[in-house]
Amino acid sequence: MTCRGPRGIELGLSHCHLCGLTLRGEGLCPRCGEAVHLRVPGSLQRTWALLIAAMLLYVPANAFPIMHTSALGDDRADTILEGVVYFLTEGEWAIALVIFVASVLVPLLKMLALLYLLTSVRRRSPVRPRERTRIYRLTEVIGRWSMVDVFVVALMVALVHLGQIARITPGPGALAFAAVVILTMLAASAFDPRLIWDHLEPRR
Amino acid sequence: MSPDLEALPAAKATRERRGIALVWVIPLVALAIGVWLVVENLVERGPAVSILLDRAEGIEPGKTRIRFRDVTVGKVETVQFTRDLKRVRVGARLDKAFAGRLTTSTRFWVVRPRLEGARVSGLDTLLGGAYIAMDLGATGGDARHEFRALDEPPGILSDTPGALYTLDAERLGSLDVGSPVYFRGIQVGEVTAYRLRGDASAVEIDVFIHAPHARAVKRASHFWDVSGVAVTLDDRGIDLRLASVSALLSGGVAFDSPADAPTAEAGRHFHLFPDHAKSQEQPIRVGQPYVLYFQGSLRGLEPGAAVEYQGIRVGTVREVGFESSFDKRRVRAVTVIEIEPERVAPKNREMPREEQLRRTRIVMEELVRKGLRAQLKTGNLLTGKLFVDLAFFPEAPAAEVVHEGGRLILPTVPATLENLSRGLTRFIARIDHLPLESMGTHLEGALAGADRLVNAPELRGSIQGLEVLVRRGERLLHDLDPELVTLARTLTRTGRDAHALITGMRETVDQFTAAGVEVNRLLKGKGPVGRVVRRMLGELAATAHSLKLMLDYLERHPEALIKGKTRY
Repeated sequence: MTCRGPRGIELGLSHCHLCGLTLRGEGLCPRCGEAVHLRVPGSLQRTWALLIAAMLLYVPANAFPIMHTSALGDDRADTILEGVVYFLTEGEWAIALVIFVASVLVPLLKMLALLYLLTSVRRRSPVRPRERTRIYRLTEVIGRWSMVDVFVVALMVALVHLGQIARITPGPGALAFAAVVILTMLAASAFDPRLIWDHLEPRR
Repeated sequence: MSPDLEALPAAKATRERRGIALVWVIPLVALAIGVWLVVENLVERGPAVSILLDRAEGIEPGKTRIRFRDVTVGKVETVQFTRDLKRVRVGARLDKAFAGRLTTSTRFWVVRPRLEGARVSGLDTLLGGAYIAMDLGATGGDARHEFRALDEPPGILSDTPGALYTLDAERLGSLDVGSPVYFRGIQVGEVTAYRLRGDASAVEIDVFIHAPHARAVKRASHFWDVSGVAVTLDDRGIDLRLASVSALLSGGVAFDSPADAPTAEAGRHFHLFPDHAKSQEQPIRVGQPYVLYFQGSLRGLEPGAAVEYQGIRVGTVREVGFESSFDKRRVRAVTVIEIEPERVAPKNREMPREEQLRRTRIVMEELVRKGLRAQLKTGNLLTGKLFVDLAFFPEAPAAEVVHEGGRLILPTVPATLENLSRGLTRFIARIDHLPLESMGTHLEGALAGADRLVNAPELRGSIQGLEVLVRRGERLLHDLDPELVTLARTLTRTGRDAHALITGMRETVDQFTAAGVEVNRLLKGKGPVGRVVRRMLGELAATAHSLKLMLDYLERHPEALIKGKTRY
């Protein structure tokens, strides 16, 4: 803790995000009428809700096939993990790794990270706020990249449309997976990182 | 530097909103979606089936499909061995629509490219890989979830309209699953299965006749095999039949449809005849048996050969064999024929069997008394097959139907050819026995007698006497003169003498003539030699006549050499 100074919440000062007015307490900005809060209201609750929704959908996203492929009468429906296994057995381990990281690991880690942040804030944990803030930042930045899978499916469905010879249709897993990614992004944005810093030491 | 915090404007107070935020709807929706997906998937899951295969060639879990009416309705999920490792158990899951529809009559089979007979099937599996096809079978029946896959695709799906019949055959021949069934030359069905009957006494062949044609199958219909080329060699000659090129490859069955018979119910059993001719033979019941003892070779006479009367079949040869008796030191060929009353008197068909046979026996006895005899005849010169001909031989020695040990023995006469050769032998033997030498001696003697007669001294004496007489007459004319009257008288006397002499000469000549007549009588007369010679000449003339008749006939019917004399 190198930098120690008074925090807005400790002085009872808030800041209007719309017109930049610094003012006391919460409520409406007297200048522009925007709602002003010391902390994002319901941030934890909303994050929890979105995170739980994402976690719920993570199950069907992985359990159901994400893509139906039919090529020359060879029908197959692959879940994400089956796709990873398929590329691995085909020797394309790099692609397998990319898919695994982007589609399985990242969403999972993102949800675990959010879970950790939420529980730590709830427990008013004072531990390593800087690292936790870094985790949060990472979660926000990386979140959008896990849509790679959804993009691939969307592209393939649009591109490969050869009638009887080859056809790709999205499976129910793709929808759930897209929902998972969107929900985790929303959850991350709903989280107020200032909460991490609120409980560094017991209030004097 | 630091502003007066109290101087900062205060935020306008707002009503604090408490309570559960609307955002919780989102996880509820997510939960609902998740639950719905899972529930839907669970509910949508149709019945699981396990299919037992001998080999799982081309069957891959998660890939091989189950198809029904060429629509994918399920997928193989697992491929495992049965516990005894003797079979492969394929676990598959079908669409929900089939829940409760899988019964004991449901059938599964693996579709692969197949070439059978004249048909190619399953070509689509070349690209897409093998799949398992399903035939649902009739509704009703016990539910089932474990099935034994068929080795071969069933020819007919259970819901194809038509009817199934079973044919009992002695042998399968070249028939196979898929062999066509023809009615009036149109393919109306096919062979769907065959199996050995439980006691291995016959082959049971299932044929399926498609819907509109199944009506043509009557209770009295005959089914016969039209496979390949049918060549029949019998006493009627050579018969060659070829149904169709397809039937040549894959075999085939044909049937007829008697007009007035009732339609056969599905599942009825029919006999499969080996060929068309056999199917048309009336089912003949046991006729009146007769025993025949033929002299000479029975080569070419077989059971089943015809018994004919005036060229019309009246019965059948039942047995040809030996009858040996050690006690009598005798072995002789015995032929058993049956006279079938319904062939002779079809209108008596309704009569009791015993009455028909009794009438047959009475009529036969009467006919035999009038000269009816059994004779072997060649039906066909090429094949050498014989048949039994019943014909009248009025000149044959009288005979009766002999009852011997409960059997009736018909008298026989030797075959015509045999008769002819026997007659020739007899004729040659008779010529051989002609007393030609003594005949020659007799002739010689007769001629010698004639010679003797001509050179007889009496004749010479009389001629000499004549000479003396003439000389005496000369002398007498010399001594003529006055005694002319005397001379005239003497002359008259002499003339009278001469007359007597001439009369004697005539008698001599007559005697000579009589000698010639005697020779003539010897040749022409009723003596044994003359009779023999005359009969010989007569028989030669008859032989020549017969030969001429035969040559005439051959000239008009040269084919008779091969086909035999045409019977009308």
